[in-house]
Amino acid sequence: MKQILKAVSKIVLWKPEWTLTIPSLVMLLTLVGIPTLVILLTALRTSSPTGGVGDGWSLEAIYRLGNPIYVPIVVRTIIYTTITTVLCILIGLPVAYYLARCSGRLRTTLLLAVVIPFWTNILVHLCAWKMALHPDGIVKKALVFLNLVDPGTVLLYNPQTVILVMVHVFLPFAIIPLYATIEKFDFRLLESARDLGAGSLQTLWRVFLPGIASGIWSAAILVFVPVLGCYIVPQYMGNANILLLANKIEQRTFADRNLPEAAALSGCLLLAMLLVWLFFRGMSRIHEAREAQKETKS
Amino acid sequence: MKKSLSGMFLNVVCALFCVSALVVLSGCSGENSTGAKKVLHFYTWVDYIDPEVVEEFEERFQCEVKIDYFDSNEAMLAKIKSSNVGYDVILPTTYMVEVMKQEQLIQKLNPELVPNRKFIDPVVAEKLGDPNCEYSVPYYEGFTGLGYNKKEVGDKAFSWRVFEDAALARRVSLLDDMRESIGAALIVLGYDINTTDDAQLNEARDLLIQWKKNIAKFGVDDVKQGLDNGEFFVIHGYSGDILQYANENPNIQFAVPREGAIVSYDHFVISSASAEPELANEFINFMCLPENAARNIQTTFFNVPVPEAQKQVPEEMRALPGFMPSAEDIARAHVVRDLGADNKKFSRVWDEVKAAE
Amino acid sequence: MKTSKLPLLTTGVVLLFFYVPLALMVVQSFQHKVPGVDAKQWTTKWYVRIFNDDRVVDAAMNTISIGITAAVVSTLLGTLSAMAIYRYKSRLQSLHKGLLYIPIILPEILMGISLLICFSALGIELGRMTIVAAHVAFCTSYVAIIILTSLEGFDFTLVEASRDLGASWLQTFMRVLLPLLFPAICAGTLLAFTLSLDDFIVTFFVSGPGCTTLPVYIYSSIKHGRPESLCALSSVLLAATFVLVTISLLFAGNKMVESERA
Repeated sequence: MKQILKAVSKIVLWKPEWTLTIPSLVMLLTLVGIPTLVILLTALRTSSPTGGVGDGWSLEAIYRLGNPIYVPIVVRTIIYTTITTVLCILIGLPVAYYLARCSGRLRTTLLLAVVIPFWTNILVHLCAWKMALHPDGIVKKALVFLNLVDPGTVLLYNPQTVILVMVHVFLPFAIIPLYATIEKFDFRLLESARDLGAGSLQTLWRVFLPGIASGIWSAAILVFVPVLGCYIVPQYMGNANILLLANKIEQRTFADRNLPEAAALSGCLLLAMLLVWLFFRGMSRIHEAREAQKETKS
Repeated sequence: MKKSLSGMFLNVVCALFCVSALVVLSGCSGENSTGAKKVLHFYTWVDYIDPEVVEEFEERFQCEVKIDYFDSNEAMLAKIKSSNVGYDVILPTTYMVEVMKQEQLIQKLNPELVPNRKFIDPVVAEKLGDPNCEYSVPYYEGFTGLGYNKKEVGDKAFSWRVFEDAALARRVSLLDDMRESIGAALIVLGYDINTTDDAQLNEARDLLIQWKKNIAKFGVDDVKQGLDNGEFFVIHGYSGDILQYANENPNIQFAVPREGAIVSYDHFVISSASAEPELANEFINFMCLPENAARNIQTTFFNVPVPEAQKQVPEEMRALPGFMPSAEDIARAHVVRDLGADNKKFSRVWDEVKAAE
Repeated sequence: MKTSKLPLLTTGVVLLFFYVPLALMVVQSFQHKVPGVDAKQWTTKWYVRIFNDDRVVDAAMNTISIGITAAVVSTLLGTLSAMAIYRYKSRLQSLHKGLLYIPIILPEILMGISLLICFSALGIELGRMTIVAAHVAFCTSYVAIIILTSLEGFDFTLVEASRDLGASWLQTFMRVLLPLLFPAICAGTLLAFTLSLDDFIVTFFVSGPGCTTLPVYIYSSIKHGRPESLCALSSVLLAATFVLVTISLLFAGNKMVESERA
């Protein structure tokens, strides 16, 4: 037994990088890399009228990306996802901070309290909100009672509802990575900043936020990207005008039975995300360089 | 101390993992667990068959029926087309039957094993273009019409133009379905719903854009609940779905608009890759028996074109407005056909409608 | 030190925001009709209906077993890949990282279809295994990203120190790395389990005959049929979660408090 362990550890230690990399890399290549290539290649195929892909190769799907109807859809998609992401991070930050600061059982309880709603299916969130915002539901009654809204207001099916529900669904995606970073943050830094005479805002801006920047970026990506792909919420909570890119991809795949065009749209989405990612990486590089400069100065 | 915590966590996770991995590895098809019993895989919509009828079939033929679900014809097609394995009996809609036939995804029924297709209304079979039920048996019949709240909009003969009614602004919904919504506009304009004429389609587009300004949303199938609980006053929807609610809520009614409507049938078909074609034929035959069809009607509130079965449905259900369409309604109802490459024309119109502000 | 009340307040509001709709849903599950219309009557008929429905019980079992398996496998893979990406900055790791982000970016519909095409091209029989594989494919990315985030603030000299002091790699991993990464790993596992429990689009495409999962069933029943028992179903899931969580708190909570005192 011991010998086997030794042998294994020898192999493992021979090339530690490979040992760490190979399991997930092999999985990713077979279950992600190849299927993605397959789907990107379909963008270059002709579409078959009965669905799926035809026999030939063509650039038609790519040309059709120039269709002017996509412009408002892309703009709208960017606006909605950005608002949702920013809201999730703004709300998630204080919550994650509080979670990281409290201790023991309270922390565990709160952490789970944040995660449990996350375990309910997205469709259940939709049902729950539909009931809450129903024209005769309690939220409406409370708002009318407080004279905040007119009795004729419809709370469902407008842009605000879509964002509200998206925040409700995706907030835990922000809280979890933020918590994971803040938990590691050395809070003594805050104290020393204050001792040195920095105000609360200054401490927050100069010390705390830069310290957890990586957590904020990953929270941003973890919220931004799933929101981008989420077509259920606009479909169920939106009005006739709220059509996001993901809804269009769904229409292309199913109603239009035009897989190549759906693939081309997704290819664009991948490309856009690549740009966003490069942007974020560039930002954090600049940030690092600045920090390094500061250090050399001092 | 921390180590013991993570150690315990690891133990719990390992135990759970072993159990669930065993369940996963035990496989799905269930053939091994049921021994020699034959298994019939039925691929259908949720809540679309009387479970007791299925149980009786299982007893009669000493087999097990396993049901899996899809939520749209297109999603089902995408799946069956890539990997046509495992399912025996499927229940697609007319136009999808045409596509599946063209793609050779379904096989002919065995006429000797399905004698009960004689109960199917010949008028319907003729209308759908397969009078002998060679490839499929038309079963559930759904009209796409208007569900409305009697208390709010009164009881009157309806026109599709109700979507233009400013008094109902934001309280009406159209279906988020390309063929159904464009079809409704085409019917109002007096054109064929399967038209491929660009000028006619453009006219329909302009009408739909006008309607779009007045509606609350393009509803997915969840709007029928909204009709039930008062969110919507008039919705565009399928007869059976709305009649289920009408049966319990006296304010809700279903009506076929006076200009006419689209009718769709869900057909029993047998997958070309079926492992149990004989049993599959028997299953379809069993469902065509009037007493079984009658029970399925009562479960789904969708009519079945078996006149014998319709007679066995309780009187109060037959009395629901819109439940028993007249022969004339059926004769002039439109059927959505697959347009092949011309589907793109509808996609273009739908894109423009959706993009219009 | 003076602390701001803002975090506490926000946490309170967020918890309300999370739980009020869920509480409404639980109340709803005991009613015949939606509030506001007709007289309210209390009933347990939706619960009776679910527990008597074999299809629902089967689907629930499928879902949970798939969720746990996928969560554990993707936690293992995700942890390894996060460490590799963090520790080594080679070309290989750039590729690795790029691949990791794809499943999050690719729309679920296309991921489902492309996986289906690949599985059927390889002649793999669709079933629970294919669902687990598909779930692992996208859950791993989420796990890895969370652990990577946590590693950003990590002091790797600790690992080297431990190795220098003569600890084996296994000892180093168990004694140094694992406890430090423990919160992130837990968070990753939870996230992976949730994602697996929530997914119906990818699952729909890669599931074989006889393995409908609960989300696929629920989604199809919303689209078609009457989803009234949905509230009851979700309330049961919620209650089950609460019970599990309370039990784990009774164990882990005490330990954690002790460990902080120590």
